[in-house]
Amino acid sequence: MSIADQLFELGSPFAYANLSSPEIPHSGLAIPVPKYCEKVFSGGKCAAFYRDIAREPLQAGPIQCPYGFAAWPIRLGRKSFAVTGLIPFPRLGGERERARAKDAPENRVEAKRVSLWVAQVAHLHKQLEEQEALEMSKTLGALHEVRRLNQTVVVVLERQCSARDGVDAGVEDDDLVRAWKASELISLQMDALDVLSNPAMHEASPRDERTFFKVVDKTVRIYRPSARKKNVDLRLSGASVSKVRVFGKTFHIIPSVFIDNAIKYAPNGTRVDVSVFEEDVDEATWVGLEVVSEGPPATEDEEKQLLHRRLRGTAARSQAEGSGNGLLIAKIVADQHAGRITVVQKRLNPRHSRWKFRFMIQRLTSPKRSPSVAGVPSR
Amino acid sequence: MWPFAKKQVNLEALSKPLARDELLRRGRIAVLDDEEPEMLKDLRGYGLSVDLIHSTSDQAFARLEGSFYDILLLDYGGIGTTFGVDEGLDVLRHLKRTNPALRVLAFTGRSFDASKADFFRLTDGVVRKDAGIRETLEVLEEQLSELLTPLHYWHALCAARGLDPQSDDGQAIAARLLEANKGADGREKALRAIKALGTAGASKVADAIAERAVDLAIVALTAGN
Repeated sequence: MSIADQLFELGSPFAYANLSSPEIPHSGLAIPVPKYCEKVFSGGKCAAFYRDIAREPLQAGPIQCPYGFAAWPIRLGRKSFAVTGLIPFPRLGGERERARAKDAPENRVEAKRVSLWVAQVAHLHKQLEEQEALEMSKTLGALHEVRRLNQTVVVVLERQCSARDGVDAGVEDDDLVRAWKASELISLQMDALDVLSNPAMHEASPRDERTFFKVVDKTVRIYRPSARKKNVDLRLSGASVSKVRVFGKTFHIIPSVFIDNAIKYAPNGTRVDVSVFEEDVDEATWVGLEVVSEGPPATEDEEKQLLHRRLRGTAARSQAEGSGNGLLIAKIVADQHAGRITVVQKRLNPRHSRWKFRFMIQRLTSPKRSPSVAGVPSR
Repeated sequence: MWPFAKKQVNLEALSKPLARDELLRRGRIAVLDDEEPEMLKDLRGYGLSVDLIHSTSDQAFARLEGSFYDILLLDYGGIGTTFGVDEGLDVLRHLKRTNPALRVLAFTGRSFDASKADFFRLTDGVVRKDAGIRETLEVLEEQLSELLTPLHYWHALCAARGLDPQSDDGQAIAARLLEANKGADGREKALRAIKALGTAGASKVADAIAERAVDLAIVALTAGN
């Protein structure tokens, strides 16, 4: 059922007719279809009237029907409806209207109330359609990423099968690793789709314990092949063995989004620095992830909106494809964990900025700190 | 039957699909995608000539407008907004206007809401992003076998020059194609005659399409189609 149909079926206080396929009007929640309409509908004049008022351009109501009732046409998207079977005040006039007013006193209504409702439902419909389109485009964006990654899996497996059959299929040394990593990235996208489809999925508190550094380290390993392919130097450093309490199904989305974005937008031959750190903030110890890289600049407005709605800056859009969901999903997941994300941009030149993405979450335990670990170079 | 309609029938008879190795040798394919498709080297390994163009601001993009390529695999996003904010859709509209010979296949993992449904409607076919090597090769070979014919390029040439194929000039072009293999300088004569047929609609793209049409006609005539 479309949004338009739902708005009328579930919410119209007045009797209404579907002008796209005229049939006997339906009763509203407050005002029924006049019994007179039920008697005369089969005569054909009502259907002809509805077809007539459905023609573009749609007229504003009230319009008097052949039997003296008033109707207000309304277009909602591709469908047309009419609030109908009413005796308006002020009256439209005529003997028929006077007769109907005596037959159907419960159908008398103040004209301006109807006009107001019609305007409100049109506005509500527009907002609901926009919201639906936005949700759909988020999902479509994530599905696109899945298909793109699946390309690697399919092609690599095809090469392997051809090679097994004795065909020189040009199998590369790291083919299987790339397919494996692509498959893991597909999993990440599926997790992101879960979050998009159901942001309220985590209503209880997080219960899974994870070593923060291990989560980040695993994510870095997943992205190494794609970084290598782009000639981007992906480095991980940090000293933390702290544990955090998380939702195991979604927590890894945050480092994944940060690192994926950094690699995607990093110019060829540059570096993406990933580090894990600990900080004392507000009398608690927090553990965090920082990703620093170069990328296309964003305007001040775009920078402010980065975490708050599905957005890709103008410069970013022209440089690389993407669903635009990543940071929005990361923010949803961060909020679920009572974590904090900050973004800082420093302009280097008109075409590049240095971006610093940080995420912090409260530490679960307070182990002794281990000695510093040297930066791990990319392999 | 009208006498001039015979020439279209003859061009049709001349336009049987080329042998597979000839298709692979002659076909020229471009991919417009900000990310290199995984299967690019595999397609080249099968003998296809495939070039990757990263964006509309790539220098190689001009070759798409100039009829150098027969097929374009067109991604939707990340390819630049030179022609408009709808990226792939705006590029598609531009190329359809400027190069009627080019066959454009949608090469994207996206499906779209109604506002962008034109993208699939205007393209000549679809290659799924995760289609695999064999499936992609099948689609490309099928397209090339339809495209690499004198008939297709004759129609494209008429479109490029704004001519009705049944008009005197349209039929005259068909006649020149049917004689393109006559004599040692048949090719040059045919091209000169085609270019001399009025200046209306003359352009570099039309000239490039004319060359392709003549070359394919010679191949077909020589093969005795």
